[in-house]
Amino acid sequence: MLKGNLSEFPLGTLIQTLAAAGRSGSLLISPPWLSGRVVLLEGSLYAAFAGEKSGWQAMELLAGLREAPFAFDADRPPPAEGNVNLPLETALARLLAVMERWDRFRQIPSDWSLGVHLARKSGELKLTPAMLQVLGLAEGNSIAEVLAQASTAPVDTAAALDELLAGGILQLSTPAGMEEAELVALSLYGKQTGVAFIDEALFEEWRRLLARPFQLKVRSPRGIEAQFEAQPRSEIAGRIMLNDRDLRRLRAGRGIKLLVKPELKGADE
Amino acid sequence: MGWMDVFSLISSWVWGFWMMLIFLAVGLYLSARTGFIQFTRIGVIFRETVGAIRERTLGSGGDVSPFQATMVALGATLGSGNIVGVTSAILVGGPGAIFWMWLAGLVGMATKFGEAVLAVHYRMRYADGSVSGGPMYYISRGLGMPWLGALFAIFAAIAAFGIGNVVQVSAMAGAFQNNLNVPPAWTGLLAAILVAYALAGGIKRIAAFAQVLVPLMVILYLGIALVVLVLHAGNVIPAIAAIFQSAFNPQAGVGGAVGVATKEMIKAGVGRGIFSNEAGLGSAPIAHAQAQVDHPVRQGFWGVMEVFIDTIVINTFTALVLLSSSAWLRGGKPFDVLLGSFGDLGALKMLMPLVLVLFVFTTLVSWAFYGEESAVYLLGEGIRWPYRLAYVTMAFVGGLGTFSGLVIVSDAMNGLMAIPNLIALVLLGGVIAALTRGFFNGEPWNPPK
Repeated sequence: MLKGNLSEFPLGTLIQTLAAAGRSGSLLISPPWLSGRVVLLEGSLYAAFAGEKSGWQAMELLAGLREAPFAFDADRPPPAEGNVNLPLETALARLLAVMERWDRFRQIPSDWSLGVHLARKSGELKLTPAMLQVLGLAEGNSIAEVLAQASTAPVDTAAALDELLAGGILQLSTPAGMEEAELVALSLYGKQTGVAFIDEALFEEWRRLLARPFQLKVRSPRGIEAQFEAQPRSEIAGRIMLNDRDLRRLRAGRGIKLLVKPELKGADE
Repeated sequence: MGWMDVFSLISSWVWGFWMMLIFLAVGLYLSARTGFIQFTRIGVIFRETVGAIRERTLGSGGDVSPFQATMVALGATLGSGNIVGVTSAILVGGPGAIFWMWLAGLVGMATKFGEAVLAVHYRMRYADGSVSGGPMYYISRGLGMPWLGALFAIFAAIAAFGIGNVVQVSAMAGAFQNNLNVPPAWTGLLAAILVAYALAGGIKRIAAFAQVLVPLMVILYLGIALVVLVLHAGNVIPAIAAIFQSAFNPQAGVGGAVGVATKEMIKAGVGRGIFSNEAGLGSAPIAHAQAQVDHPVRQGFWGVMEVFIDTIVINTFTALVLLSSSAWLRGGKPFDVLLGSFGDLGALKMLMPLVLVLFVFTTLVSWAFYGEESAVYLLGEGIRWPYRLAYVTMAFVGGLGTFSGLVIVSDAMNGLMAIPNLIALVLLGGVIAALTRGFFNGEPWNPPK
């Protein structure tokens, strides 16, 4: 079974290769937030599925994935009816064009599990129908959910989403399932305030999960919240090191348990 | 001149007046190098120690929590010197001696801070996560003088048998025999069994013992002292006033020890202030090295607190009990004078030997660890169990006699421990200062490879 990751073999190249070899079977694409399948029949593009999308819309959605594990299953039987009714050359040309458009969306991260929500600050932007639809879906949903649930073509939805993020109308947030960590405060002395040190293992884990620069939102038992720049420090497992003055601002002290949640930089600023 | 005379001579020198001045000088030097941390950072020190007792470990190697490590150190530090020694100081130097004891204690805080900082900084970390540290390691690794580190370890390994073992068991046996009619052999056997049990579990079990017993004995002792102070409440303020008034003018004392020379008063007070908290002797850093801390300076704060509890709290309570009850004016043997402070309070008189026994037992266990670590430094891991066996045997034998020869030798060795340690503290003063600066600048600690 052919296996790999789209970060090494982009979807266009992969399908071109399989088609040139005249292969039949299912290309299963499975990032954590989406389930995708592209069916080839004797080297022709026969069908595509991605979440709730199917046909060419599914292909457009899958074309936006920059990182995702894939596997080609030659034994899996094709569906009774195909849903991509395009000659191979046309389909490949369109696919490459769509992928080129996706590459221009600078605001959309490769991790589509990140949430999208409306920003608190106001701004002016001329809204298109696609944008309106994205705004309607944004609050509380992940990028993957917004792209999959919008009725417009995924690449148009992505363009709207990208523009709304760039304009600061929408913001990204941590994945919905990401839990707050309860860390014990440890005082740090010196002039540098506004920085929170966490154990390097936890820092790496959060960095890997978020795949973007993040900061920390810290809440004290008295309900006072503050944001800090996150930095790693070795061998302080279970701890968060904050400047003594910052701790006092939180009305906390050494040994107090604080709730810490990573936030993508730029959120709620 | 026989060997015992030689050791007696060494002992008189290492515990003498000039040595006291050296202790003070080193304390003042370290105070200056650390920006008089015991005064300028007193709030931080309290927050990081007393304010953090509820916490457990901080990570970064080590086998026990910073609090446990301090309790092991305090277990060895707190002893009959806090009861009998302070009484002797007042009998010799009058109330003013306490003022000088405080001053010496304040200086000693910087010394103990430096010792704890170096102990953690230069400790050895092993693959299983355990650590070993103390003056022998910071002398060897910090100064690059393994022979001097070995000399310290020899002194400590031998001293443990006397000051940490026989002297303590003998005192415990005496207290049990006089107050409860328990034969010394039984006391020795009990001590040997308890020490064997504690030692068999290594530092973790010793720390588990210490973290319960040391606070218990401190609270018990302070509780007893508080009852006496309440009974003589009217005399407490005059007693405090007498300490200050007679500090520079012995004639102005409460009434006793009239004619005591100022030098004798200062000697008695400073001597107690130095030797009671053991700052500079190099014993406590062996325990402090075991603490799980992210930065050596954080353990240094516990070193300051250790001296504070010993000298400023416990010794002061002892002094106030004696002065407010006026028992010291009647003179006599120090322990009897202290018991005289309780007047007709029979229950308290009964509790005092128990407190003394607790003081003695914790010293016994903590010193066992100091001696064992020193022996391991010299001879490797293989010596650990033979040393424990020898220590337990001596604990049993210690109840049966006074072993004056061993006590003289170990007393000299105990005093000699200070020499390599003080040399290291002076020569590594820059490291202590740099680590302290780094800590207060928020810099991470980079232990030497």
